[in-house]
Amino acid sequence: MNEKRLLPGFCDLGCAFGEPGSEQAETIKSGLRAAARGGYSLVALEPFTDPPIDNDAQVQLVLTRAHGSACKLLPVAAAAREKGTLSEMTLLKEAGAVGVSLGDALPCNVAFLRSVLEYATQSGLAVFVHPSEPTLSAEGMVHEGEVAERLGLRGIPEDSEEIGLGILLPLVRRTGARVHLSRLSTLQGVRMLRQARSQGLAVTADVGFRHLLRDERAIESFDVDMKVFPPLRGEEDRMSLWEGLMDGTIDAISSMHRPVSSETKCAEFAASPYGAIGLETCFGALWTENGKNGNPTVAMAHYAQWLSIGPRAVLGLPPANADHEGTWWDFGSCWTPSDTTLASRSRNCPEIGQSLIPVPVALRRDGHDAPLP
Amino acid sequence: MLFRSGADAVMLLRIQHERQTSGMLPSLREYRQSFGLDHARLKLARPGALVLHPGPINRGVEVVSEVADGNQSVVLEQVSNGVAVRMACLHLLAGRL
Repeated sequence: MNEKRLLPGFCDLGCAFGEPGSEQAETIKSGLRAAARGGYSLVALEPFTDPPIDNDAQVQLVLTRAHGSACKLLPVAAAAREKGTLSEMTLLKEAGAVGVSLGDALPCNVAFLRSVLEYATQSGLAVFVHPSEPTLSAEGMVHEGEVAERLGLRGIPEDSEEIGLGILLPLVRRTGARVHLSRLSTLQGVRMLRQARSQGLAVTADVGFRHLLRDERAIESFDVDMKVFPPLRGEEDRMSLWEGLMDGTIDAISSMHRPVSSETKCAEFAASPYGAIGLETCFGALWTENGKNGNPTVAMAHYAQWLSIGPRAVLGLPPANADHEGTWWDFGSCWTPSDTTLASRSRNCPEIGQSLIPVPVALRRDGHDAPLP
Repeated sequence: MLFRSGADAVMLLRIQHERQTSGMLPSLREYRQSFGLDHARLKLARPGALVLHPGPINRGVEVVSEVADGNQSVVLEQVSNGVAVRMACLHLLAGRL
């Protein structure tokens, strides 16, 4: 039986590479190669490099570096410059940015947040942000709960997301800004988003795939690759994220690709930076665990919705035609992420050593089959 | 497009950058490129439309010098009239004391 299937190219709404500043962790070329091998034909790149992508010249540089890769790149620029002022959003848009990002937390200064939303609206750009209240999330490292207590690790409360949304949503309503919530992680967050959307607010959201597959217990062995931001939450939160996807409250699943070099990542839990790579293993991990471990059994069409159609719609793009822009997958075999099989320059990958189905076998670009890069 | 076409007059105002404490303007460079009046944008107005500005002008920011000094500009006349209007206001107000 032929078990090869052609799926439309996936779209990621916020991966991070290391160029410029941390090329040892990931270059734009290596990141896009990893993306193509994970089934992606389009990724939105977050701007928090060193230096950050906060001006039009940097946006153009990133686009130049991405040119010729098998996966397209859409830059999301920083909403604020290092000195704490608004970035030049009109110029960023002209240079090719698809949005501006505030990163992993709201700014402490709510008046500045409002200015960001107003100026982005005037400039015609979407604002990407993980809606956590910064003072509640700054000190912790894992989900605040029973596991954190037992391990003696400082927690990040769910309240940080709830309060963050409590600040953000009224400002969205007032300014009419187009806001995308990155990496939603809590039950209360899903409820607040559901209510906001039912009131017609132009807010979209994504969820990291590991937040769907794992809960706080994943850190019990002090595995630093499971230290991600926002942290893996409780079981109730995990189930609410699935419900949010199923009822359309959440638009997309993201890879949360955060490459960190082994030299930096291999430290005691508290000192290890956040992040895990995920572009190459996102779909395989989801499909392999489909219907297992309390996960719902989900039809392929749903994954196409959450990994391709949904995220493209967030960026204002029509669905990808698989015949034109897709990936051939072999559902009859499996592969094991390892030092030799991963294309990313980093190895902070929780799926290393696991057997994943399906295997990406070839690309489909401009109507023709092409080998994996 | 941020400019309405067919205007009879275009009124400019100096960007008081020194008083911008809320940071609503990221930079004068972006302001100039987004809103600065040059010949191309002036063509969107009615042919012969007046260009006004109460002065002083940040040349090259809200308006390029070629437009500020061009034949559609009545800036100097506007400034002169402004002095006369202020004098008249002071005279009327002082007369009531």
